Amino acid sequence: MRKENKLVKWIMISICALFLFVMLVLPLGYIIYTSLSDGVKSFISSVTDEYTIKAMKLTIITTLWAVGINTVFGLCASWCLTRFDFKGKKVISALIDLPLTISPVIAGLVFLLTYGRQSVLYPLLEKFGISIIFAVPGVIIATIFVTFPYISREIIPVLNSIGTDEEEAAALMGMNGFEIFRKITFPHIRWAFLFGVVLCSARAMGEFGAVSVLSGHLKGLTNTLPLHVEMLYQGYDFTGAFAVSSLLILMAVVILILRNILEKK
Amino acid sequence: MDYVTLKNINKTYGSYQASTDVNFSIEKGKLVALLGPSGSGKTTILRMIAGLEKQDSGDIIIDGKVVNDLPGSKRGIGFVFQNYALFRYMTVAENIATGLKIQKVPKKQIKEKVEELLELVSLKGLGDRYPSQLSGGQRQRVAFARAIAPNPQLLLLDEPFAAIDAKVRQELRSWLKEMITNLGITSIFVTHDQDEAIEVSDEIILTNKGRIEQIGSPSDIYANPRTSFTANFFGHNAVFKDYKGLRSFEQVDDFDEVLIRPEFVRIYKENESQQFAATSSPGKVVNVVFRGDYSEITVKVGDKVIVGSRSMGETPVSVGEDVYVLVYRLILTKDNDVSILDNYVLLGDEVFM
Repeated sequence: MRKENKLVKWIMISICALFLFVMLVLPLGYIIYTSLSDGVKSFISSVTDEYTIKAMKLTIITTLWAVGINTVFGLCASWCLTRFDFKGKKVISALIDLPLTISPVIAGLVFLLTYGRQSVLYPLLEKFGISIIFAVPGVIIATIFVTFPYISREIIPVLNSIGTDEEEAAALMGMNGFEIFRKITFPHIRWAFLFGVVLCSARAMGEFGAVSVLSGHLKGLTNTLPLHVEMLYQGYDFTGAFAVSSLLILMAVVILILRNILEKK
Repeated sequence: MDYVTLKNINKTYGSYQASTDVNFSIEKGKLVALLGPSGSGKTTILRMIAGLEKQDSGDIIIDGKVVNDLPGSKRGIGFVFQNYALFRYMTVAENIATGLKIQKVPKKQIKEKVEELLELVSLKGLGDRYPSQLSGGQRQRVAFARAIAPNPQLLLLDEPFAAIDAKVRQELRSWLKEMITNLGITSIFVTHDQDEAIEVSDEIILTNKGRIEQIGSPSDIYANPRTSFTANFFGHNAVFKDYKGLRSFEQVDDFDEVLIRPEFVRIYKENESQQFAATSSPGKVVNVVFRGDYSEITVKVGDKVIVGSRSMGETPVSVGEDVYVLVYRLILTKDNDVSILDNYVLLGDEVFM
């Protein structure tokens, strides 16, 4: 019995290790290897290129917006869905999942139709001087749309599992809603929330499809890092594409490390 | 003086009628059990008193004030939740102090009060622990201390013993009764366990399908059931369609069922001399279960299987033995009405032996 278990255990571990190697380590390692194949100098020049830096800035700004807005939205949505009973609750719950099931390109097209030149809303937006399509707001909106399920989906199961007893107990003692959230509810959902933020930021940084439709690929203006990578790649600048990719990977790794540090505390 | 009164309370959840015309009053200082099977609406009543649910119609009066629109935190109540609902991310001392902090009691006073309460519930020195580091019984006592910390005038307990294992439960029952009696705080607890209600409470409010079936002291409600639900709910009844073959009972025709409770049954060995030999019926022992201080004996009398008992001091009976069975009292039910039929030979004698 024990021997068999050991065998199964090692087979499982090997499968996992092999899978991770083929799917993650090998390609990622190869990207870094390729990006450095023309020497460190060309890597640095690709990474410090004016347009790369602008793209990185835009990516960071977009990510901050997306995470900020989705944090507020995610907390509100998960609170509503777990703590109140109302008509249409199931519809809202299903709608939140929509961005996970819809292709980002289609999401981008939907926004393009809604806020673009052919839309009935366009004259109104123009009147107020708001440009969404082929501008930074479009990039941000697309990113928010694609990433909004991540935080609430992490929190909802935790809120459901802890139940409402502790909150009711606190309310009966006279705590107000905000205090209850801060002192009773938030400690429970802290890690789920943090994990949601990590997933949301990672997804926001990497979003390509929806952003690609709405940004218009204006170099130095509406290009995010993933779009920039594609542009370099299409222009046969493989070293540059891989170098910028490794930059994105680096940002993802930094976020993961940050999360681990926070979790330890 | 009545401390809590519920007047014509109705409550529905969608199409489900959780409370129908609930009326009762509770005297100040009493320890009252809200007893009923699951789904009988007892927890709903407790939650409405606490302000955690709002009744659709009717009034809740606490200490002479109608509290319908008052939030739970302003009703002067302490609440012990079924699973205690201790704040998991706070220590025991912080849990107990929470209510006092909200009331802006000075820090020094809070500290003293917390120490005092920890001592009261015999958890001295455990103030720095987290709830997850305590046993079930200890958690329950923390929940109790937390509920009474702000000096509520009314204590509500939802199934306070449900989550505790049998042995500790017994201890906690007596502990809680003593504690509440000493504090003199009016208390209502919800339970589905009739033994618990009988043992702990001064008064029982029996609920069924959202209605109040009967209100009374445990002994009264046990001995004098007024509805067939009450009669069936209490005691370990044997239920029959008739009572043919049992001697010395007046003939009554108009009833649905006959209930016989073990405490109204005496079992005699054949050789035991007894005063009422002519009144008892012959039977055969089919099962004997040793219960420690007594034996539960199942006897077949004619076509009926009746349960009685013999105490440790008496000569034991064995399976297959012929015995005499003396029944003192029958409970007859008709729809929701109840009548009691006493053995006429024994009438005037002590029914409870």
